[in-house]
Amino acid sequence: MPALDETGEEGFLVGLRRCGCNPQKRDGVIVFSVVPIDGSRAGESIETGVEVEELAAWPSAPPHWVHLPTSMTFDHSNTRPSPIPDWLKHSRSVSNWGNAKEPAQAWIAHVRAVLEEA
Amino acid sequence: MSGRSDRNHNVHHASRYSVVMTGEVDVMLHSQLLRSDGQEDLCLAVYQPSNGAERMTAILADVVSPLEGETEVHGNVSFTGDYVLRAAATAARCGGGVAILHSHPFGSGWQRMSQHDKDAEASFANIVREITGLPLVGLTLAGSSDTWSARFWSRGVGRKVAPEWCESVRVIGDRLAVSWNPDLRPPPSTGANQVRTASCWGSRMQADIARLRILVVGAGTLGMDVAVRLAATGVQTVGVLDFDSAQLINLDRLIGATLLDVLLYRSKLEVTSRLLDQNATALDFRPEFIEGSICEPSQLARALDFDLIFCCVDDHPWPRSVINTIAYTDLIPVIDGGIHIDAFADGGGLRNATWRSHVLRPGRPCMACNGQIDLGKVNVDRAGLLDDESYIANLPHAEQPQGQNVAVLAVGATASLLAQFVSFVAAPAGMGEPGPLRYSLSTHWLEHVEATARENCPVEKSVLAGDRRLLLVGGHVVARQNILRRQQAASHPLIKVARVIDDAFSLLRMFLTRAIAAFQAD
Repeated sequence: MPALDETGEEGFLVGLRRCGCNPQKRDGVIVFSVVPIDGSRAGESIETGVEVEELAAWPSAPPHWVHLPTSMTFDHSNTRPSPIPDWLKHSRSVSNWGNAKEPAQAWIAHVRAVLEEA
Repeated sequence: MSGRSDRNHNVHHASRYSVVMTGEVDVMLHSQLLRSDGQEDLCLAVYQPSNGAERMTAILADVVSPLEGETEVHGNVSFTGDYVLRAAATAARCGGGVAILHSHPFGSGWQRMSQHDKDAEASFANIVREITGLPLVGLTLAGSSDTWSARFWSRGVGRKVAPEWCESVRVIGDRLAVSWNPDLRPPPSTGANQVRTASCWGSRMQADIARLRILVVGAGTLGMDVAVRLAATGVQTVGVLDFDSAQLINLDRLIGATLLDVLLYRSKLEVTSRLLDQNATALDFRPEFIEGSICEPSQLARALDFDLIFCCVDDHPWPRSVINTIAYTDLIPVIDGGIHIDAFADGGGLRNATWRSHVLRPGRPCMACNGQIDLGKVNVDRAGLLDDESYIANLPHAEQPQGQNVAVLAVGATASLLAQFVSFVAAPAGMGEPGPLRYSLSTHWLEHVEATARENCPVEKSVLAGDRRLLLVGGHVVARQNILRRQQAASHPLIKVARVIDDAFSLLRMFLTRAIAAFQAD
């Protein structure tokens, strides 16, 4: 039978924990930390988040917005307010989605790539 | 009638029933049930329910083969209660129901039940429903004609338990093979206006095609043309699902829509309705028009009542992802495709145009694996941002939606979709659907696209999930706003009067046709 057990918000949380993250829920956003490998913030632990509403069809449909503190700035970014005070959500589509054995790891890699532009 | 769930069981009170299986399961069941010694045989299977607005479908998922001593073949076949209980426990663990399948090796056509068959299935119908919460489904395979027949033991309880007959059993392989219940879905007669069509593939195939319930999602350039051609071919039930309006910008491609339609704020559904009325050849033509978005739960439920879907949705990833998913979870094959015009950015000419077509079903790559949808954009579309001018303006140019299309080439894409349809349902020379195809205009090259299902594709992993499907559905604000705007514009008294006059002309034309036909028949 199909593997339908790790889906939605719970599936995302389970995947993040398996990848060594310690996700917390804050103002309707799943918040966890990522360490960029490259860029001006390389080696720094940075909080990021995903809105719970965007996890309804995880992992078939990944989130679109990357939530970050306003201290993270980019040369060009399509932004909207985040539910977390002093945070913004940045429009960043993840490309070639849908073939990761561990979808949470693929999401973390996407966020790392975003943070490397900061 | 709308479906509703029973308080004690997951029994959906449907008005129509059907069974569907993959070609792979069909082959497995043939080898299990058709013995070389010509005796009857039996096996059990687990099914997943798929509940539409009116139809309940059992999706055969796993065959539960009998263990030593669980069946006994003696001309007929008998089986033990332990076998049924084992299958019911297996089904209950995965939220499924139990199907009991047996063969009539020398039978031909849709099989009724003997008293022996009835007694055997009825004796386990109650206990299976108690364990799984779902009705027992019985199937019979007629060996001489490879015809399935099926029933749901969903009526009554205790000694009064009785079957509801299915209208069809569908097998989804490289072709769509349907066994029809002639009592519920009798073959339509071929009218004088269908002689040329029927002579292409024979009256039996014509009857099979005519009985398919086919949904066209998106009544735009491709979808409207597809729907009209299906109606002209004699398909009795063509459904069309759309929420958009006919606009001036569409008139260079929307063949059949007029300037008056635009001025009267006609929806694309209204235009399609008029065209289907004018072109349908089935004597008993029953079109269904569904105003809304397939992303809305109630419209999705209606889509699940169809046997085949044409996806003629534009580049919006959200509705495309919904359609893509149900091809695998609910075994409703989807014929998808589209056209891409590659114009030079400076407006200086046409570089190329390509059109693609493919059938989505288990065994073929899904839209995501075939590069026809970006799953990463589903959520942004759901949020309505792909229709938000301020959001689009901030996107890099390469990511901004492109709208080029042209009537003289769009017909190529329509033809490609319909050719996939004919291969899928009529299998010319025994060849089913060909897999993904792409035509390149600049090089005049038709090629098979070498796309395969990706190992970890989340869509294809959810195959046969039925009602356990994970889908991103909900209120589609853009669709509802569009409908509301059109209704408000059309409520102006002048527009209302003009619509009545326009409708009267259409009715007059229909009346004239009937009156003159009756006069000439006399």
